[in-house]
Amino acid sequence: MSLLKREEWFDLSRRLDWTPRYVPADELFPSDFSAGEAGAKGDWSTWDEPYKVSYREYMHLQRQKETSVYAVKTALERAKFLERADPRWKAVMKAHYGAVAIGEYVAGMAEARMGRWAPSAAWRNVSVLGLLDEFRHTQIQLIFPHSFLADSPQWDWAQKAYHSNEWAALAAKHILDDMLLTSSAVDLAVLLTFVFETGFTNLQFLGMAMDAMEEGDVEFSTLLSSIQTDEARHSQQGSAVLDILVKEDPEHAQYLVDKAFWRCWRLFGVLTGPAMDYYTPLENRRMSFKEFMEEWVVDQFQRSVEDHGLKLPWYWDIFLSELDYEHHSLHMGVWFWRPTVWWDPAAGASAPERKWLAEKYPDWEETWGPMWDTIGKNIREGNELKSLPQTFPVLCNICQLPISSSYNWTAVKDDWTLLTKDLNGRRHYFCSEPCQWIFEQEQDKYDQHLSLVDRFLAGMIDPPDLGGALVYMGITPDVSGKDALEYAWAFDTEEVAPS
Amino acid sequence: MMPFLGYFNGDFIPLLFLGDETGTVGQLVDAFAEHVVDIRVARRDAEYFARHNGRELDLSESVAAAGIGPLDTVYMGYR
Repeated sequence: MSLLKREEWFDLSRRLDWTPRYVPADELFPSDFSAGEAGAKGDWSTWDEPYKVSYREYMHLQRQKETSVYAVKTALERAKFLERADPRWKAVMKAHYGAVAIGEYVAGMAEARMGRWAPSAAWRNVSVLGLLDEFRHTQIQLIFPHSFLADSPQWDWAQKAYHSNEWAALAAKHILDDMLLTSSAVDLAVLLTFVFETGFTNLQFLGMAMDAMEEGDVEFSTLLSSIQTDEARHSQQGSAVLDILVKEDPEHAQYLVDKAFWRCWRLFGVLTGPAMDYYTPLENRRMSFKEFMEEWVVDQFQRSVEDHGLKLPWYWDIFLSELDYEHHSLHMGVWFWRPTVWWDPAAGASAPERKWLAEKYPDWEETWGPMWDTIGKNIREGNELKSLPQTFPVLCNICQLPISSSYNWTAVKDDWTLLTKDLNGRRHYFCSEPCQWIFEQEQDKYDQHLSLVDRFLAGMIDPPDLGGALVYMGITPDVSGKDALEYAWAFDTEEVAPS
Repeated sequence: MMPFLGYFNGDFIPLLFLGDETGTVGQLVDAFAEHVVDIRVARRDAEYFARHNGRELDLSESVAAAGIGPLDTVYMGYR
């Protein structure tokens, strides 16, 4: 008996929808979990992914990827890359593993939700492959840093971060819980696979892979590239969902895109922005964060949105202006509050680095230079204590990140106030109009969450000081972040104008 | 001590701060400035200002008379 050709059996193997007889369809696929109100009327039998992969083909490809990644890992363990790795590059890797490894597991749970609740069998099949992808990403991003544990306990935060109350981990958990674990299959396909994965993971997995190769970190580069090839495949779910959702409820589709893009921008702004513009050693930087955003996120996202008949988010001008300053602010915050993170941040403010920053960001020196001047002066005069935090920043009640005063910077010249919303006897604070807008769209969902500062004010941090906060966050002295270069940058002042 | 949120002009970030609600606005600003001036903002030979709810405050008036309540925001800086 001859075998059927692929095109003869493929659709039969992926379109497995049937009419249930033992339970009503709406019990098998409850609306809140499945298509949601917005997608209830959609013809999901037409759902179609552009790149089709059978389970057998998938396993064959994934086996090859795994073999390749572990072969590189084995070879480079012999080369002992880590022993000669630049401390600034170690900061990139430690921040990445802590922020991403268990986040991949959460993405796996999201794929599992689509694999169970998606209103199309073809889609559910693709989600199952996505689930396997994400669990593979979790496993390899846990095993790689595990082999570095002898170097520093900070590598252990690949496992630990998401199980702690550390502020950056809380920020990551907030966005993932919001978008990935509390949305219908249709909504999370747009939030996760269309915006988060199609729009933003290029930043971390392509941009950082390029920087890793420049740094000579073949292992990390291979790991990131191996992951991104999976992302490129399973992210197609979102576009296929939007094709149907836009016809049924374009307003809801627009809302999902607008919400997710801003939430992702904030997350990647604190994760990838400092890594590209401050941590990566100057000689190995290929593009600035802004340049990478413009080429790999802004242009591509704009085309994707327009292809689906949607508009750019209403806050697009705010976003474009933030490309010049928001991640600089977040970087300074992370560096100054460095005892609260699980990696050793690089200041990236030596004279040559500041020259590079001023070339890439014309307003950088005027805006950030004076503050780094003051910090560097304190370091040079032996006043390290003045470069360390004594109190808390104010955190945004949506993104959970420190609020930067650089938002509406021009307005700040004359007066300044925080964006707030009083609800149910509690005041919520926001870093920006888009974060406030997101809160107001689903305020019942967000109202009960306490930011780290809210927890401090509620008496949950004892003693109520920075030391108590470190204990609450699970940051131990052997993990607590220090300057990556032991302040060498502060003494490299040749090209800096006197302050 | 009362929690309030302050921002000092020239800095990059507003801060949560526990201040003495029984003192004057000037004392409150002095205490807050210790977290900013000579830390990230260079010291200058100039007087401070303080604004609350869009109104410039008299540094000699009391915090209570100025109407600054818990978790209110105060904008400060060099004049």
